[in-house]
Amino acid sequence: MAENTDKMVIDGVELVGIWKEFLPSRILYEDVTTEFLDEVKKLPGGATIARCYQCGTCTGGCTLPEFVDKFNPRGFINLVRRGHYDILVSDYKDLVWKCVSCNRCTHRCPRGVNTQEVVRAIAKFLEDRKVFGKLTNDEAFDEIFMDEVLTDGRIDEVKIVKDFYSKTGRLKDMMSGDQLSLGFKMFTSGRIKLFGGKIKDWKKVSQKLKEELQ
Amino acid sequence: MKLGYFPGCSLKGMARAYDESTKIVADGFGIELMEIDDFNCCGALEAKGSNEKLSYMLPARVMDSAKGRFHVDAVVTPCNGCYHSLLRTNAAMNENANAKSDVISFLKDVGYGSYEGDIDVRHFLELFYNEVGPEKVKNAVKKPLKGLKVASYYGCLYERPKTITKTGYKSKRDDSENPYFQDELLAATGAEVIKFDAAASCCGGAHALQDESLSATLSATILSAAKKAGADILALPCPLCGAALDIKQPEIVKVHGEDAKIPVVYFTQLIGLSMGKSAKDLKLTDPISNPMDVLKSKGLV
Repeated sequence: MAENTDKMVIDGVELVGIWKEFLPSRILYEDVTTEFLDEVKKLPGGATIARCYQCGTCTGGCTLPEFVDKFNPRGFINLVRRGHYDILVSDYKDLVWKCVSCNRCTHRCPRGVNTQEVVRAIAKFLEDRKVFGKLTNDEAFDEIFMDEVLTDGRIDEVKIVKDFYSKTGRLKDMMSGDQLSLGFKMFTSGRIKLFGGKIKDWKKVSQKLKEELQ
Repeated sequence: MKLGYFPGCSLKGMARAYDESTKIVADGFGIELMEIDDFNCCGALEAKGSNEKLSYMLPARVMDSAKGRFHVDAVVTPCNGCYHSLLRTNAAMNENANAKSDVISFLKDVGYGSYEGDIDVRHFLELFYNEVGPEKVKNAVKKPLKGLKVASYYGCLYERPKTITKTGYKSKRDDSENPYFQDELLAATGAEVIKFDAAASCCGGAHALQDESLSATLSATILSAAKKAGADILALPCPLCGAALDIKQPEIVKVHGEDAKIPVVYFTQLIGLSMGKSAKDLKLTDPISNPMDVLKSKGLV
């Protein structure tokens, strides 16, 4: 067993001091409010947020930092836990929702935090507080998707694309030459069906699911 | 083992090539698939962001039908997204008593009420590897895919996250950080599977509409990595990655250039081709990224 006074050299850098001493905690107790943490915990997927011990494994393996500057799941969780709502809104609100759900964070988390779902819950927390001033693309898509699932039981890809563009005010983008020629190929090859199949007794299931969503 | 087949919405729409080639390959190797024809959408990533209970109820109804109506022991799906939703529901029903009782009371109201989180959920790639395997594929080859360089791409939710993919499993699971099942199956067809670093990277497909430019960048990274590694074609086991990497490819190439231009097919299409099945039946003319030209140039179609 090495003594506390051992010298340690890593990558040519000498680490001076008593290296086995505990690092100071990142949580500063005097400024903690659990108001936001409690709120996120109650949102879908948010339950495991408090298990996080801030190791950063999630951010280390995250798909996005290479492409989206300052994207940092560990950081988002830290801000919620420390109650720094103001910083979360001013610096990160346009980043949180960008998660692409690759689930590498959840997969590697040593603490069993469902990180991908927690990050989604933080985005939803911001959406619910109306910090964006408008419907985000994510919210718009989720709404359309769930509406279509509950009504028809299945997703029709063409309908969902059309409804999404229409809801976000970009229907003209869908009428571009590229999109039309793609649509034409899909249609002539039989991959666009004008009348989708209906699931027997779906009405009853749908009603029950809608009650749940209320 | 009686197997229920859950194709999911995509395979009944734009990814019908995956549906049809899966059935051809399964049939060719004596895997009997009973299609759960009254399936509903699994809820994908949208349900789990909207309502926790609902995100378990949707997949549970599919498995309830599989058990109550078709009396199967396992459900197999070729879609990474559906696979994730079903596994996630099983994990919740086995770990969370409240979730389980909510789901069961819902199923008693609207379905057979027989499902208790006890069906084995399998991905078609994993099932095909374990039940058939590279050796039998090799022996069944009628038309070796000689000279075809393939990048084998897996996508995200096939082996991630371990919190749900490792729950309650009977069969041998793929390596979650460096998956290889598809590599070995494709190599058995006589094709050359190239080393390709982006095999389990994310294509961004989940945000293909919501965040188009980021999604296109992620897809372009994978497509160009495959091309740079020398691949003629990219094969995959997920219809959502298929939508992002194939259907969106013309838009991606417009922004990111010809480096991102490479034909994309489902792995079942290539296995079917090596079995001597026709390009027409395997719907090899379906992909927007046009695999026919390269297959013709190699004398494979």
